[in-house]
Amino acid sequence: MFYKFMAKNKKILIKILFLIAVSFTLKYVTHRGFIANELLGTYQIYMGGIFLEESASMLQIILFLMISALFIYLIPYEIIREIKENEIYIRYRFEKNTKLLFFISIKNIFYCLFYQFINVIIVILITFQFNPMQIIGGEFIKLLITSTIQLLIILFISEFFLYHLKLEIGMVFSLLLIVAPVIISGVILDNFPSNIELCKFIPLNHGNYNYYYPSVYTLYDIPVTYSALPDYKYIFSLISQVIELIISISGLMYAINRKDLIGGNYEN
Amino acid sequence: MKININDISREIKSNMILNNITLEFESGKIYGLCGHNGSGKTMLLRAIAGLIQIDKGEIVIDHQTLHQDIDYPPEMGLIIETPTFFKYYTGMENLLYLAEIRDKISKPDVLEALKRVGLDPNDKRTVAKYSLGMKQRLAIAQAIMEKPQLILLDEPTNALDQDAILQFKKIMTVEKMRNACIIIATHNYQDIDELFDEKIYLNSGKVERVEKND
Repeated sequence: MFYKFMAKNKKILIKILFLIAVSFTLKYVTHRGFIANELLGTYQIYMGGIFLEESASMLQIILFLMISALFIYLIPYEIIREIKENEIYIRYRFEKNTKLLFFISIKNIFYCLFYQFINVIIVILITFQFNPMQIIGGEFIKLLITSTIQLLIILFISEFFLYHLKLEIGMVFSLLLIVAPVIISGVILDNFPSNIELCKFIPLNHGNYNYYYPSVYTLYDIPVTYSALPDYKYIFSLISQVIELIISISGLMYAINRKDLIGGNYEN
Repeated sequence: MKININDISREIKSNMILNNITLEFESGKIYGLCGHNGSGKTMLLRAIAGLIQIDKGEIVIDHQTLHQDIDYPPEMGLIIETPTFFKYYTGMENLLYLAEIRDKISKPDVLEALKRVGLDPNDKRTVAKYSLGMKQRLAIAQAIMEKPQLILLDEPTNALDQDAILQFKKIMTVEKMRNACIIIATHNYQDIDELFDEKIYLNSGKVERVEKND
């Protein structure tokens, strides 16, 4: 089944590879001063989004925004554009709106798994390439799970905006929602550094866990931290993520259920 | 298949676009929804298709109430006024994509549907390069390819030339023989008048009169 799906959707899978290549190159160029000596650290540097400390840097926020824009444009935008372009003929064939939601969810899950699979391969290869690898398997899997759920949340939320609003407006709203936690983190870091723990409670900000433990290296004179989560904090993050995921799926269902948008006009 | 429309109404921006409509449709017949622009025929068709919510009344399809038991009528084929397709796919690719959703028919069925409407299945042009008439033929093909029990067509003869209209009439006759329930909304009903078993005239969202063809 997975093979069949991949073969049918090879165009979008090629786009995912392109996205990862661009994202990886940008990360590599801006982080070339440092290579972590463990798998988790490497994963966080190259695939884990933006570090807390980096959220105070305009360059890193712009970089994060570029990668996010590319991600939304190539994956959820493509999924929703395809449905919207031929909406009525597609929708009535599903007969039930929940079936359309299921169809979108399956696509999201496949793309997320594929995205993460390629990421993991790259991270493992790069870690072998540059350092003797020090694997902390359990922690790596923990981070992989939270970052996968984070990706799913972003997909569902942006699909809600893209479906509910015009595609271009939906894209802007999606980007605002993705970048907002990073900007809030930056503001907290700059103005209230003693309250840094607050960053953990910002919704949609559970993909990067580098700030739970003290820093171990410096990048552009900014201390950058990476470490695994203690179990109780991990479970807290996981519960928050599940709640966010349920809200985002419900949002998409709401957008799909709004029948008055189908076909657009009421002239006749 | 039996469709009962029981006293339905819909108001949009203070306009009653559907006003206390009660009708009944059954299999093996072709119904014409006739009326000038703005009479409510397209909205009635959309209401039956489950594409708009109604404020009052109910639409019951084979003992299942629309929007309560089902979101859309089961086994429906539909054309709306402006045909939309994936512009950068060929006609064949478009139909294959749609056919995969229900997964009831295979490639030969799609080929046959294209041939029935007079389109070449081997045409490599994308839909973006199709004329309006070709798009309309493609829309008819997508509506009939899965041999649905209910066929709802909104202005299906728009942009069709006389040969294509003749072909369309033949297709509809075959579909009727197959025992499908066919409802066609049109303002050019003179072209296809002989197809209809019943003509329902709408005006300002109300049923003005119903004529049965002998």
